[in-house]
Amino acid sequence: MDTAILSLKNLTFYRNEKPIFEPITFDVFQGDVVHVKGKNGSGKTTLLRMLIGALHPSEGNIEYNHIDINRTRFEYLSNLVYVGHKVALKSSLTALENLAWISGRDKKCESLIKALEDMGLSEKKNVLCSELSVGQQRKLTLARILVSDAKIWFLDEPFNTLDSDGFTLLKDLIEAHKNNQGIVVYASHQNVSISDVKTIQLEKAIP
Amino acid sequence: MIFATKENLFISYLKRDLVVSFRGKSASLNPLIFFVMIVLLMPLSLGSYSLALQKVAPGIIWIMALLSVLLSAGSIFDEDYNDGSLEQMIITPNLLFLPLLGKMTAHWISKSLPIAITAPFLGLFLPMPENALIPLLVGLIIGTACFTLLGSIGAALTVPTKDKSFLLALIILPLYVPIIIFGSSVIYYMADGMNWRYPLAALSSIFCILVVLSPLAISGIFRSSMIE
Repeated sequence: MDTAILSLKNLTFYRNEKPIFEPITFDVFQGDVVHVKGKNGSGKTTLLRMLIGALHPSEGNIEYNHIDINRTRFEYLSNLVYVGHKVALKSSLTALENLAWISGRDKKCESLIKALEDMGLSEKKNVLCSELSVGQQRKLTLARILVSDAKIWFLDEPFNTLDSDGFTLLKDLIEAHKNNQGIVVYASHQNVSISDVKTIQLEKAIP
Repeated sequence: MIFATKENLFISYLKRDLVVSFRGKSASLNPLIFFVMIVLLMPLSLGSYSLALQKVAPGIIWIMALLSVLLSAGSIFDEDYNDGSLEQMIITPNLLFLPLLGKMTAHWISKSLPIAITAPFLGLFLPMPENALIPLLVGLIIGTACFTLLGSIGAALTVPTKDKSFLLALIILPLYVPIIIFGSSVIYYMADGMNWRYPLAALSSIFCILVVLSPLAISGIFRSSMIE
């Protein structure tokens, strides 16, 4: 059997001295797609933020290749890409400038142009982000995962504000990444038809 | 993940923040406009006491420069916090030292350096002796950099807080005291015929300490407490 790439051990987070969800123990293997489910306010974003190391768990720990992520921080963070609620785009930079900056590549780089084309944003590449619609901004944020070579994707409500084309495209991207032995962990309250999805259901902790 | 690895992280953050602030011209000019207006009001309100004004002019310019920098330094991380860039910066695998130093340098160039450069011209209005203008300029260039470096620590501590101006002033203003003392001493030493390079050296040493400690402190704040 494969060894787990990512292990969540008894993981929970306390807010106002109370756990916000029941402790989670879960293993993620190569080629896994994990859907984090839960009601609004159940802690989906908190869980994802703990997984990317931006929040310290109140209890339990996260291991990457059987080493605590705090001890293998550089390697772990080099291997992940996170697309959160907030778009992390600068409104006074153009779509292409934003993508180039965030991916650390030159503006003339072919892969950036290709990523924008794939996302249906090639006509908008020289448009300021402040002039893009919310959905287009979301697509631009998702273009980052196209130009990234990270193995693990953490996506927080990635399907929100996407049109049907964007929805299908993202679904295909997740499928393709899974087939390339990549890992996708996404939080969403929508049910998306992706094959062999594992589920983490966040349950409210019983006081 | 942000993996700006082709260029030095310092340069890439510096360039991006400069482009962002120059494209949003009005916001980056606010501290300068505030500084010019408030200093120009001084000779108007103290018109008939020009001798007294001449004596207090360096102090006035320094205090006004401090207030103007404080006006903007408190919000250095706000935009990044609101649009999610700060979170992306925190989860970069690299140390935060160079990105933070790049951000602070860009902030200083776009918001504080114009204040330092304008100050000698305003000094002529107050009026200040002409030979005091160069020490004023040099002192303010280093002084505003110190203000920005210290102000950024306060900004990092209060980044998720709304209505933070009072809290920020409470945290930061006491720390500005040595900078103000040595900064205005540069001019007073010169006026008294002493060597003004001594207080300038003290100011420079504060700058050298801050340029190392401030990014370290801020990365500690961001990585340890983590913003919710």
